Amino acid sequence: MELRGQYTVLRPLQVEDAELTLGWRLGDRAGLLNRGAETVAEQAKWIASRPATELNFVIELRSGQPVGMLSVVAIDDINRRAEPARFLIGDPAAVKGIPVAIEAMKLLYELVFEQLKLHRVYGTVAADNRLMIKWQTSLGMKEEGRLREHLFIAGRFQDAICLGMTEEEYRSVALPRMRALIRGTGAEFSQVREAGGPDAHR
Amino acid sequence: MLTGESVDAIIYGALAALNAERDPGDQIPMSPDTALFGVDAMLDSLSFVSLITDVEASLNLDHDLEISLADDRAMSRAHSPYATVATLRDYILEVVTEP
Repeated sequence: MELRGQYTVLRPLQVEDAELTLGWRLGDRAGLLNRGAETVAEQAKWIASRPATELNFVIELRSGQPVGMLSVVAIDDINRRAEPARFLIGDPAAVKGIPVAIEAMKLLYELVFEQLKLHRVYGTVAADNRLMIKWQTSLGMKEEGRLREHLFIAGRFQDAICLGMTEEEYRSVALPRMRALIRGTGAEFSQVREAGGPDAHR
Repeated sequence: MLTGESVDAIIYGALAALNAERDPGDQIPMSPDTALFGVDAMLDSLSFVSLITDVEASLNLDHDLEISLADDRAMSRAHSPYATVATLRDYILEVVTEP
């Protein structure tokens, strides 16, 4: 399943992506994510063993350049809910000036609510990951609670912030807001391209 | 009454919050020309959305203005309201003075 946007493509994560995605996962930007594989072989094994309740994607530019990863996990058809997860822009320089991160989230939510017909998304974010919490709440998630000392990250326990969004909130809040942010920031990108500036897709 | 100076102060406050999370050598300058989104900007998408959220919160809490800076109005413009501190300030002033 491939999801295509104006600037962004989400294509299925493959075993061949092990080295690339491991490099991202071991980078500084992934410091507040849960620990994962340490070697390419472990990462390949992990990718190959993803269960049917998950859909894992590589975020690509329209040019085909991979720039990050994003998943939806714990897909529950009975309770009609799922958890967006493993959101990481691994190549920030490649997405500068392009609303790739916002559009990737929009594509994932469209998959969840339009194609999978789920009712709700939810998840937890490490309390120290303030930018991610603000990002998620700005794009429609609501804070629903706090799990005390729930995560062991960077050598210490820290709280996890519980976030969630219903389908109604997606349609009334998240979708219009994401569309506006993509359009508003995309306009800037268009001006750069039309002015003969750097080709941000490279 | 919201003025250009007071809106600048709100935006700079949001930038200061971002700078508090950044390394000393990676501080975002406080200037009307500071790029907020685009190839010249120091902010990535997470930081940019955080900035917009903080500015909206400040407008609400400090000035009792419940406005969204990411809605149809932002979409309909020919030029991005998010390009620089100055374009965001002008956009906010435009939105808050709309009838």
